[in-house]
Amino acid sequence: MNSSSISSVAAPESSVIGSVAPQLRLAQSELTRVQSIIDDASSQLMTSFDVLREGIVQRSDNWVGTPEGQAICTAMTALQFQDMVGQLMSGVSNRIHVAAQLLDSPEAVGAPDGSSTAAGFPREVVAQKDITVGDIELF
Amino acid sequence: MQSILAVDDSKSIRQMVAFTLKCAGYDVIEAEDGADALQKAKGRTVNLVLTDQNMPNLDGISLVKNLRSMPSYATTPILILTTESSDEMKSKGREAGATGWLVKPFDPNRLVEIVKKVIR
Repeated sequence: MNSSSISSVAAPESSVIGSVAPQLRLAQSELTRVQSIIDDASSQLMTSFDVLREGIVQRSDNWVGTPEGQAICTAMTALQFQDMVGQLMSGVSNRIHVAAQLLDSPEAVGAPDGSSTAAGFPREVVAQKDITVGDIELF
Repeated sequence: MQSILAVDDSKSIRQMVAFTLKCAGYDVIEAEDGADALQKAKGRTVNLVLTDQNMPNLDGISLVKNLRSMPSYATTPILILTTESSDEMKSKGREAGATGWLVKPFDPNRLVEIVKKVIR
């Protein structure tokens, strides 16, 4: 490969890298908007759910054993999606932030053992893949 | 009436935990993170603490360590209710002095069963 072919290959790579960081920041901004929409929708769902729940609870002392009571329990489990999704999105947003920073400052990638890049990324805190009730362990 | 300190930075989770436990006959004190919980724990005793793990200001395991250093909370049952399910984090919770580890999402009926089992 001669010098002209090397430069023709290197230039596009540099250009691509330069365009990735802004796109990552845009993705981070979009994630923030998605989070805001989910939070807003979840808040409205919770408010409406509370009204419906109170109505059912006041109608019967034994609401827990009724089909409506079981539906309330199922809905309360499902409504916890907001907490789980919120934490997942926060993790994704932080990863994007760190990746964009690394693209801006490539020298940070050059640590001998690579620990400086790995250390900046957040730990995975949500392993759930669905809304199935979680395990319980008493010590 | 037995009292429970419920700690979570998610308002919706706090609402659901509080509703579940109040329906089961418990008095519920809410705190929005570990630091808030520590403030609310001082000067009063509760029969059980139910806390999230990942929160701003002070996380759940640090809250457990702080509470265990207070004589009035040395034996109070403390349950960690969290999205985290790794064995490593559970071990840290156990070593800090937590009574149990509950992975979200929780089922309201099951939560009440566990609370009844461990509360003092």
